[in-house]
Amino acid sequence: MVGSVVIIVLTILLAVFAPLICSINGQDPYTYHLDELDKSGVPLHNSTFNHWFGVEPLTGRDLFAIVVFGARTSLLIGFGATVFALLLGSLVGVIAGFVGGKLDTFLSRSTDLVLLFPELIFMIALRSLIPDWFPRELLMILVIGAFGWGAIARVVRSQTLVLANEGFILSSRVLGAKKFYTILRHLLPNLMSTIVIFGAISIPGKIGSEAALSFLGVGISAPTPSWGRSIADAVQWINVDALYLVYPGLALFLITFAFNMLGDFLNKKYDPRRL
Amino acid sequence: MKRKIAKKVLSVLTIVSFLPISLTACGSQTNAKELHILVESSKVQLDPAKSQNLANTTLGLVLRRLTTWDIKNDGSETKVVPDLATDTGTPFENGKSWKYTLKDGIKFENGKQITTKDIKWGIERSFADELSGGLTYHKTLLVGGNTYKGPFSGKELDSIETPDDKTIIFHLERPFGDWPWIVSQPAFSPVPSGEKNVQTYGEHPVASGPYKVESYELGNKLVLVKNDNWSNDNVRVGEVPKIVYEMNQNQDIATDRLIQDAGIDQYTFSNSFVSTAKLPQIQKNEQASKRLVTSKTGSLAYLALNVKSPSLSNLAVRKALQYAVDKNAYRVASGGEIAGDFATTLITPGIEGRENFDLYKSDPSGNVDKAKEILKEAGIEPSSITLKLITASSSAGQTTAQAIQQGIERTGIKVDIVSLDTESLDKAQTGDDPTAYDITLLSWQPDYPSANGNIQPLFATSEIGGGNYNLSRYSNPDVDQKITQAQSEIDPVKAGKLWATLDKEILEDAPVVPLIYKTTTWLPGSKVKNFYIGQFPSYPNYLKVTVE
Repeated sequence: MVGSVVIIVLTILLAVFAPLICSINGQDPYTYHLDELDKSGVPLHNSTFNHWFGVEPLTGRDLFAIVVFGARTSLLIGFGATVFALLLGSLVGVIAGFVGGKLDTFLSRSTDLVLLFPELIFMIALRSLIPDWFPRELLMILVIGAFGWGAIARVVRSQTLVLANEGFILSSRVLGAKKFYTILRHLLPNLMSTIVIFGAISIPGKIGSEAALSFLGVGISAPTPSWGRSIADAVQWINVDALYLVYPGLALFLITFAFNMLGDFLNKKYDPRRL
Repeated sequence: MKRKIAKKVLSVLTIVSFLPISLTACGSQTNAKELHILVESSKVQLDPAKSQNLANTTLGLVLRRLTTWDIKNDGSETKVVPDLATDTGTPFENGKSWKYTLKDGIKFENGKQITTKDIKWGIERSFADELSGGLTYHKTLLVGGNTYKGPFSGKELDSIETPDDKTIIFHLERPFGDWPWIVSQPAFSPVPSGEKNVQTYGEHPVASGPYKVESYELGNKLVLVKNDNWSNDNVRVGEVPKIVYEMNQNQDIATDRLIQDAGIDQYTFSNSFVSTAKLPQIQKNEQASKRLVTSKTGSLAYLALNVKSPSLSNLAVRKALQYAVDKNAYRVASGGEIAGDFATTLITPGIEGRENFDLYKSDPSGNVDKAKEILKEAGIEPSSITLKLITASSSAGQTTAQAIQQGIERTGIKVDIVSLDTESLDKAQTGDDPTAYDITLLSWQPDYPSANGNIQPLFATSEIGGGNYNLSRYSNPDVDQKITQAQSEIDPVKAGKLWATLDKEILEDAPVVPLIYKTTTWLPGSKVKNFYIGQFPSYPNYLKVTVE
């Protein structure tokens, strides 16, 4: 638990201060160092004083800088998509649970649809429809978020159904409070812990989606570093330069692992069913 | 990710499953007398009307044409030589008409004599809509070719005359000096006159070359065996009794098999060259690296500058880019030194008439100061320019595009990379929309070794959009007129001079940045003999390959 928090905090610091950290040894993830490569484009050294993780094959770009800047992409899209999904999912869940009736049926079926949708294929297809000038990061946040709200909507809906019959909600309504006011004032505060825990649980999935899309070559545009793209490139070099795969792979593993542990911990500790 | 891992597992299984065969292969020599060729696609196209094969690959083993290519291993230029015809053609009317006479004793696999009627039928059927996909040079050159729709409705193409069984005469729209090369293309191979099958003819064509089809299983295996009725051929060897094509072979797995070189794989080669990432792996492997065969030269890899784009319509910007581009980074991204020499001309080495020159002399890494200076003199602020670079979403497409981006951005010009899947990329590059990109990358290997093939398809006004490859969208009436003039010249030496002048004239307008002459590297099994690549094309000469 402490370990996963440390990893998460460290990664966030790494992402926020990426340029500063890389400037320690004067590196950035964009500059080519062709003199660090042999005549067939393979790095000459695994690790040097200037390049702590060595360099990337075929380009000679600093691998440490690529991994550190890659954390920015991962976290930005991971967090962004999670927040978007939470907003969307909570909204749908609360309305479905509280209003009920035909609207509930419609929203619940929509939720099922989103949960069952082959999202990866759709994301790839969608990409070719969006014009180039649309910011790639925002697009990925919207797309991953738009397909990731199903589970949260379900949980929030069921929580809402339970809460809606609680005394304080019923009293509020009997006293003539508007639905909107009741949702905002009484329902949401009580749903907050569920939403936050769910957020923590779903972050690694969103980070994974970003990596998967980049791995498939439809993620963030090059040369902005992304772990998924680095992993895709490195797979081809596994026989020659295995370390190229290890660094971005390990980074992706650690951050998703840490968030999973945190989510599990929060889930056990603040299980809404035990509140 | 899962897919890639699955492939790796598969490759291990393949190697294991081939072990027992390797033992038997060592025991008896008779088993070994066959050659295996690994093909990535699920189909081997043997219909001459649909095929775009070079004269020295698969189709050349089964079908002969009027002329063919003599590819030598001694560094001499590839020549066009007679195949079914007795010579490479007699021009008359200044090269507007060409006459060919067939050799004696040439037969189909069924023993029937090959006549000029069969050649004519082969050409005519290539005009049919249901048989599209082949090379189109002859379709625009032959008189009436633009409106002709094939022989199946009973109509003949009158510009092909066959006064007797041995003579065939072609009438062209205009003089064309490279006609002897055109008649070496697949459509000029004989198809029995009257043959109406268009659906499956490509699986069992009637052979005229050293091999005939024994069996064809789509997506799996094609087996070629010796054709006893083949004779009177100076170009093909036809020594191997049996050639087996294995289809649907993943390129990386194929490379792994060839590196291992076990059992039947010793008698095997792949029809695709070794990928950039696999090269270092082979170079580190002593027994495999000895087998590597690299072409001496190859296709021209270049950066096309779209002259119709607002920022690139200015000659000064295009000239600045000649110095800004980092050719060295591009070459490293393509695999380093082995990927080829730095390019400065449009006509590739090994082509008749080529002159070597460098209009924009600089270090291979570029000359950033010079580029900035040119922009400054023209009064252009580099940061005001953003170029859209479209590239393939494949890993090779990404790395090479980034190498270009990195070079140009040193001047302050911004480059946005947009990656597209192969089909969308092709559509954007060759489509009619001039705003689809500012710059893009391409490698161009001509269909036949003539400077015409280097220049006309890439720079003639008629080749802009509509599926054609003038990616710079370059249009210069003077150049167009000189292209026609050079095409009409029947004396190869004079034509060569004209093309060399054009090469320079076009590059002065800087519509492209030549990057490297991209070589290809191949890995044949250890028992494959006489596997070599001539001056042109950068593909091995299948016609001479034998096994130990």
